[in-house]
Amino acid sequence: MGDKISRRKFLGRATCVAGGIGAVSAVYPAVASLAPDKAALAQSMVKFDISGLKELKLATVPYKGKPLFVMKFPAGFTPEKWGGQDQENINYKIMKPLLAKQKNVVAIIGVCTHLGCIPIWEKNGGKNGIPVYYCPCHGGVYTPWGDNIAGPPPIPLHIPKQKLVGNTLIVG
Amino acid sequence: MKFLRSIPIVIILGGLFYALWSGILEPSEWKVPQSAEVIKAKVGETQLIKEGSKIFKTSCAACHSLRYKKIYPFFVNAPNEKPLFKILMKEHNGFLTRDVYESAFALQLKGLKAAFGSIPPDLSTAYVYLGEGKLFNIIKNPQKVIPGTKMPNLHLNDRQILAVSAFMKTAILPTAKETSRRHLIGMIVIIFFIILAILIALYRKVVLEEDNIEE
Amino acid sequence: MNQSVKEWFESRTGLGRIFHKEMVEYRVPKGLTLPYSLGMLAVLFFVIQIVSGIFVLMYYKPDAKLAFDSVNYTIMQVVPWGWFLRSLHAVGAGFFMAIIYTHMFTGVYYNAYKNPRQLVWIIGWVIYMVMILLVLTGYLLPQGQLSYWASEVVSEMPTAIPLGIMDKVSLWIKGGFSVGDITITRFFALHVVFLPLLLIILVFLHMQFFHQTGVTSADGREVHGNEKETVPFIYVTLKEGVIIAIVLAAFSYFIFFNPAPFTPSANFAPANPMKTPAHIAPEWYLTAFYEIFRSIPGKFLGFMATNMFLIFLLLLPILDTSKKKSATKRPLFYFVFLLFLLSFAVLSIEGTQPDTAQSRVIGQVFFFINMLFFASLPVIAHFEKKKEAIQ
Repeated sequence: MGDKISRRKFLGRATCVAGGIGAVSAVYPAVASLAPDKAALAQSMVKFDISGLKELKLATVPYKGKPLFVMKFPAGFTPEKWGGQDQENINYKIMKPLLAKQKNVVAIIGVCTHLGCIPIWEKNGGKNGIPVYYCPCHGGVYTPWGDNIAGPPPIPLHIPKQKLVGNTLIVG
Repeated sequence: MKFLRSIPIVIILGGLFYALWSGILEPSEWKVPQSAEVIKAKVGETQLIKEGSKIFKTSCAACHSLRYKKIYPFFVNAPNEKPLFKILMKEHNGFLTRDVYESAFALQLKGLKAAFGSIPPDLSTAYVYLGEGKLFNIIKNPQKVIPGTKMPNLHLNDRQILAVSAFMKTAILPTAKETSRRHLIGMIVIIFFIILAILIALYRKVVLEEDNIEE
Repeated sequence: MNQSVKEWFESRTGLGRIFHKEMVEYRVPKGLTLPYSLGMLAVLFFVIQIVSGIFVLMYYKPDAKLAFDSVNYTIMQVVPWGWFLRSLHAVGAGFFMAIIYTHMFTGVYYNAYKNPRQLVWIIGWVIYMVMILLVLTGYLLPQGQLSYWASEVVSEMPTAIPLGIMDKVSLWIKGGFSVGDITITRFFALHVVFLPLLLIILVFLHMQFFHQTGVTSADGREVHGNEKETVPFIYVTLKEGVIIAIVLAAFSYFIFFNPAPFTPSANFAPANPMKTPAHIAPEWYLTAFYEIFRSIPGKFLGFMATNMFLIFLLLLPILDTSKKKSATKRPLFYFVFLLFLLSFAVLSIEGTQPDTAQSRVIGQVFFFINMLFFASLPVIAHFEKKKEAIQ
C-alpha cells in the first residue's frame, strides 16, 4: 500500500512539474515580444560632426530617443573656476582624459537623474553667474560637466561611451 | 456498439477537417517547370537569394518597391527626390509606411500610373499571394498570365527568375534558418504535450484505482 | 499562518466555496465520452484568443493604410516572437471555431437542447452568433484582399431583404459607401472590446445554466443529483486534461510547422477596392452558409435559406418533441443526424470551391438534406411515441 501511495504522489508531482514547466515556457514568448526590436536597438549609436561647435554653446543630438548634450569646453578648463572647489567632481574625473583626447568636446546624456526631465543649459544661471544645467521639473542643478550640486538629483549626469574619429564624435 | 456508432461521425468530421486544413482544396493553376526545379536544387537557396537581390535592385526596382526589404523604385534616387528620400529613410529607420511613402512620392507614383495604367504594386507580399508557380510564370511572360498588363517581359533566364523569386520570398517568409529554428521549437513543444498527456493519463489511472472510483 | 490567510479571504469573499462547489464537488455522470470535454476545450481556446489577442493588439494599427503592414511586417517580422503570437491568434481562431462546431454537433447528438436545458441551448446559440460576429469583425483587421471583400459582402447582406431601409442599414454598418477607415476602427472596437466582453458574460451564463440542470449520461438518462451514477467533477478534469494536452499538441503542429491553412494566401494581397479577387470564399466556418446562399436562386430566397439553418438550430427544442434523449438510444434520430452532419461537411467543402453549375446542384441537394433533418424531427418523435405506446 505504501508503495502505491508513493506512486500516486510521484505521478501527481511529475504532472504538476510538467504542467508548471509548460506554463512558464508559455510566458516566455509573451515576455520576449516586449523587448525592443532591432530597429529600436539600432538607435543606440549616434555620430556627430564637431567641427561647427563653439565654446560653451550647447548642441543637442537625439540618442536612444533622448537628448545628448555635446559641449565644447574652453582649453585648459578646470572645475575650480565654476564652483568646483567644494565638490568631489566625480564627472570631471571621468571626463578629464576625454577632454584631452577629444579636442575639449564631451557628450553627456541630458536626462536628469532625478526623474528623467531634460535640464536647461543656463550659461550665466548659477551662483555668481557661473554656467549650470538647471532642471525645471524639481529644481535640480548640475555643473557644466554634469555633477549634481543642488536640488534632489542623487547622482551626476551620465557620460556615455564615446570616441573621436577625425572630426566625428561617435557615441554608443 | 458504442464504438461502431462513433465511426461514421469520426469519418465525416475527420474528413471535413482533413479536407479543410491539408491544403488539398487549393490546387495551384501555375507551376514552376520541372527543368527550373532542377536548377533550384543544384544552385541552392542561399546563392539564389544573393543573385536575386542584385537582379531585383537593378531590374525590378525600376518600377516596383519591396518595402519590407527597404528597396524603393528608381525614382527615389532622382536628383530632386533624393534629399527628401534620405530624410524620410532616416526618420523612419528605413521602413516607410504606406501613408508616408505614398504621400511623399505621390507625383512619381502618379507618373508610373500614367505610364503603366496602374501603379506597379509593392512586391513585399507577392511571393505568398501569387504563389511560387504563378510568380515564376509572370516574370517569364507577363502577358500570358495577366493578359493586357503593361509589365514588360525582361527576358530573364530560368535561373535569374528563380533567383528573383527566392529573394522576394525572404521579404515575407522566414529564412531557412529561422524556419528550422521554429520547427525545432515546435518539435519540443509537441513532444512536451505528448509527455504531459501520458503523465496525466498515468496519474488518472492511479487516482481512480486508489479512490475506488468508476468513471 | 497559511490557513488563517485562507480563512481571512474565504470569510470575506466566499469564492473558495463557490470554486469547490462548482469545480470539485460538482457531480457529472459516469462514463462521459470524449465529446463531453469539448466545452472545457472551448473555454481554453477562448482564453488563448484573449491572451494572444492582447499581445497582437499591442502592435496592430487600425488604419486603412497602416493595418496591413502592421500585421505582415511589424508583427510578423519586427516584433520578437510576433510571428508566434499572430499564429497563435490565427490558428487559435480556426481551432476555436472547429471546437465550437463539434461542441454544437455534440449537443445535437445527445439532444442537449431538450427539457430542462432549453436555455442552455439558446444561450449557446447566442454565443455562436456572437462568435460569428467576432470572426467577421476580426477578419477585416489585417486589411488583405479577402478581409476587404468579405466585409464588403457581409455588410451588403442586409440588402437581400427587399425593404427600402436595408440599403441604409448596409451604409450604417460600413459608415460609408465602401469599407474604409471608419469601418476598420468600428469593427476593431467591436472585435477587441464589445464582443469579447459580451462573450465572457454569455459563457458564464451558459456554464451556470448547465451546472444548474446538470448533464445527462451518454445514453440519455437524467442522473443529476444521483450519487450512484455520478462522480465528482475533479476526476473528470484529469480525463479532460489528457484530451486537452493532445489537442494542444495538434495545435502546436499548425503553429510551428504549418500556419498556412489559417492565414489564406489571398489575404496577403493588400486590400484593393477596385478589384475583387478571381476566386473568393469565406473561411471554412462560414462556407456552408456561403454555399447555400449562392446555390439557391434569387437573392432574397438565398438569404432566407441561409438563415433557415440558423433559425431551425435555435428552434430545435421545439422541433424535437420526443421525450427520449441521446442518439445512442434513438436509431432513427442517429440516422438523420448522420445526414445532417454529412450535409454540413459537404456544404462546407463545396463552399470553398469555385462557383459552377455542378456546385450549385450539390448545394441545393445538400441544403434539402439539411432541411430534411429538421423536418424529420417531429415525425421521428411521433414514431417513437407510437412505439412506446405499443410496448
